[in-house]
Amino acid sequence: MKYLPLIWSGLWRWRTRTTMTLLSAAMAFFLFGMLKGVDGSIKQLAGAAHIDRLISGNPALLPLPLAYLREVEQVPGVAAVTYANAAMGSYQKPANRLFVYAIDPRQYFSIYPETVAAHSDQDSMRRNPAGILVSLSAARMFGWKRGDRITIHMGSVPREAGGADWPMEIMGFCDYTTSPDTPIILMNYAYLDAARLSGKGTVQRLIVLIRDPGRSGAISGAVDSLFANSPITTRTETEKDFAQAQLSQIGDVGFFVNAIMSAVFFTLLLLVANSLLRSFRERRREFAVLKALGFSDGKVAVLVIAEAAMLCGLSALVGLGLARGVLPLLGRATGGLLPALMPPSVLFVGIAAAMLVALASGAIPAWRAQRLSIADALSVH
Amino acid sequence: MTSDIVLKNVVKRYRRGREQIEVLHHLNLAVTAGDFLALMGPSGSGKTTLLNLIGGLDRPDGGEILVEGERIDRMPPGPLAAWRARNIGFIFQFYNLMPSLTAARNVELPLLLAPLSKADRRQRVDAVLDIVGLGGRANHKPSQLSGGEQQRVAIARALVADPGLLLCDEPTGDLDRATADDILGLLQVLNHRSKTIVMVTHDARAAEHASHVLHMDKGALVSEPRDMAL
Amino acid sequence: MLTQFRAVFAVLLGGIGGRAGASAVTIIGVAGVVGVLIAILAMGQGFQRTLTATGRSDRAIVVSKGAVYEGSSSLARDSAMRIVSTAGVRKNAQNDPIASMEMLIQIRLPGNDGALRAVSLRGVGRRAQDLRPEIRIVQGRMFQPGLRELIAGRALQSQFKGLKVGDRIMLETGPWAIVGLFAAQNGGAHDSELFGDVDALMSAHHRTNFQSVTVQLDAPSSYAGFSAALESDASLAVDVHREDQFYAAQSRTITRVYTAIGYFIGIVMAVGAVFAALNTMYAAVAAQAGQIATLRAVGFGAGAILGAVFSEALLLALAGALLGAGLAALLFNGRALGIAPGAQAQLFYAVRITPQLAMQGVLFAGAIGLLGGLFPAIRAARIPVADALRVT
Repeated sequence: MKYLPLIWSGLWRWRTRTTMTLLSAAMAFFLFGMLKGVDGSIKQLAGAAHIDRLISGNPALLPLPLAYLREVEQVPGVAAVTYANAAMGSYQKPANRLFVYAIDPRQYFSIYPETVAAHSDQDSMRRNPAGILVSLSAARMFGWKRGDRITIHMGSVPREAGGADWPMEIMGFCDYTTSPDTPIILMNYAYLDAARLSGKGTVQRLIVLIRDPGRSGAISGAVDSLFANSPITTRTETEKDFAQAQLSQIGDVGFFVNAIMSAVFFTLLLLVANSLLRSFRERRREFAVLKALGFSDGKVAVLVIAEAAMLCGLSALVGLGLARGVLPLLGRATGGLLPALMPPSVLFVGIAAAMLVALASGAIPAWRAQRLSIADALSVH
Repeated sequence: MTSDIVLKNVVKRYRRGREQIEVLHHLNLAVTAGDFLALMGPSGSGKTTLLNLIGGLDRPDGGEILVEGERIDRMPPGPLAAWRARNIGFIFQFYNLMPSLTAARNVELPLLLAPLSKADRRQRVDAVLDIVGLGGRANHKPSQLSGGEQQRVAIARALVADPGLLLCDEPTGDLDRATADDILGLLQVLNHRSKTIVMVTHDARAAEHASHVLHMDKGALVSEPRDMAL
Repeated sequence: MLTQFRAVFAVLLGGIGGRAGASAVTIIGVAGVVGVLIAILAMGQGFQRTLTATGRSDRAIVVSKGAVYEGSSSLARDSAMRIVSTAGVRKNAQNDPIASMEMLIQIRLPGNDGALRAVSLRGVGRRAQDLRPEIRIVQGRMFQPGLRELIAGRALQSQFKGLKVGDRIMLETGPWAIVGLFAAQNGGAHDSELFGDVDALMSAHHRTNFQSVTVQLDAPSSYAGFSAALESDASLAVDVHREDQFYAAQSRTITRVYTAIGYFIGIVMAVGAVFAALNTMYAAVAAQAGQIATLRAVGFGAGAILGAVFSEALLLALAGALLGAGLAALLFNGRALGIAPGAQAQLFYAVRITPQLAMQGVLFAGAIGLLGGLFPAIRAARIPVADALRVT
């Protein structure tokens, strides 16, 4: 700690140079934060998906008639079927976005056990047509309490009576354990369907709970053949496949990210190493003075590494911080497909990577500092 | 603290290309504690080398060097560095201050190596800056100080760990006459406070401030100064 | 002015030995930017190229209304019959319409890595070979109508082991034999598909509806009449497309995504490279400041100095661009990639690093060089003449 002013002053000896290097390195960490953040979100979404649940939807995203539900229930191996109709909503301001799922509360919670809501809350919601359950994150975000009457604007679901503002009453809370930071509202499908202008009697997709995950392929095929000759066909697959298909349509994201980041970090290493080497070369005399004053060879080497660590650490904080701020913008641009927050693991891995770069790039100058001959470096010629 | 320096048969060689040049030839020297010794001689006579050896900045190729009875020619690098921190203060011709540290932080550097609290360090730094007469300039950077002031900061840095021996290499080489006299006066004061001082200089007037003068030529001590155009 | 420029340039270049490290870093940095940009753009373009090569403007494809992908389309048999007998469809020597009523489903097969992957299985009509003369059998033979036989597109071979001539694959309904391999002359989406007899496949999978009807038009100009006739028929509820446009449209979103991603990553990396270049150029100017000042004292103009600094920056950037493009070509050219459009089966295509892409990379690098040289150049041009007299 007491060496901090010394290390800091060494770092900023040449302000422009250090600033340029820092900004350049920060870009590398910014990219890391963005790419790893996106990749992490994809993995998180895919990882939370179940293999004992099937998603059945129309490949062209046409809404399914609710009548399909009865037929799917008859397929052997099916334990239960429910539906979820998702829409984007906003509270008071367009910027306050949240997800609104219209559900059947009798089935939904048993099919989605990771969504936790007290039974009393589930009952209250069921009994009140306009009743809703709000996620804990939404309640925190907007300061909602049980009994609050609020209005949610859902632009994609206009009302028969006109406009798109839906009055709702908060009956309780739900805990979305798999995406705790996403603001979500659960409303009664019956209420939505009765009052909406178009699409009555349809749902976006069916969720099928099956008894044996090993038979998911066969059951999916059986469901699809029920409707293969209808105007609205279905494609049924496990939730996991569905999530992966949604998000990895553009290719093997993980591989690309790692390939690009390898190239970027390699260049970063060279950049920082070059900067440190140059800095050390021009400060040989100062390091010799430190040795003359009694700093041991090892200590001087550690000072060099510490300077490298400070440089890389600062760059990482700037770059990762920037990514943290930009990711939510990306999330908004993709319509909430990607979570708006950078997973903390990305931050830790980023800092760890920064320290590794510091060690690797500082190794040679530190070695030179350790071996520096005091008399040579101090000689006036 | 006072110091005894003894050099016995000290040899130092340098390799230049494929040649080996002997810079110090079987040098013998004894410095009494509390002495203010001036080492004079033409450039290339080996006086800076001798100073470096006394201060443990370099190792001899032969002979013994004892400072206060300790064989510093045999000390391993780690303990030698620690020994330097405790016992030696260096003063260079071009000050060798850290340009991006304030005067106070520059002076503080040797204290970072000791287990002192922040408050203790601050106290000693302030005290020693007062001794050199720079009490009010603690927060100035070297670029904001004159040559003489910078050398005072360097002297303060050399004093702050309270070493017994001050080694000066051309301390007034870069200063004008008046400022040089001030610095030499300061060194005399420190000598009277029982610091042993060995000063390398080519300036006869500087040497006048010392209590003893020794001459070197071609790597050995000579009894008479050679008449040379310097 | 030119002689002045050359002199300044020589001065700058003379000191480059001392800046070898920083210059190398700049070159490598730019190489990274250009390499990554070109690679990503090439991936999107390759995909677009493959899909575009699938269709021809003198063929039309008919799908149910609103379907962007064949997989979302569903046409009843009588609708399909009406489509092929519409005016504008060319007839062959036997006076049969050159058309194919087709079924398209996704099946899951184990890939080379063992994981199950989706593959498109297309049931084609009897006159499919007349319809698509660009598709040839390259190994084995064509399947026989009515039998459980399939032919496999060539692009599948690199991704799946068990699709060679003589292999059998298990569909829901039992084993089917691979009796031949096919390839289209210019590549295209079909090279990643399996073909079989549509009647055999439909009966085996208990299907009655087709996914699409593809017809050969009399002439490209027949399209207008053909599509008007079908789309105006309310009882049919279909969309008609020129075949090439239909497939091209499928690639649009993904290509756009790749282009956007490529430029986003490219720009972020470029910003990093600009800072690195600035560092290098500032160092270059600082190292030669004394000499530049001397030249200015002698009377050299600011223009020559600006030009020389810019030239060094651009040279470094160009070197980086060539290195980056070269690496991208070396590592990526000819590589097989798979993308799944519209959540259908993956389409495999080869990535190609084209000269146009290399040019884009060079231009990008040029921008980096210009930005990296701008401020240092200005600083160099402003070096006070008095600096020439100073000893460092």
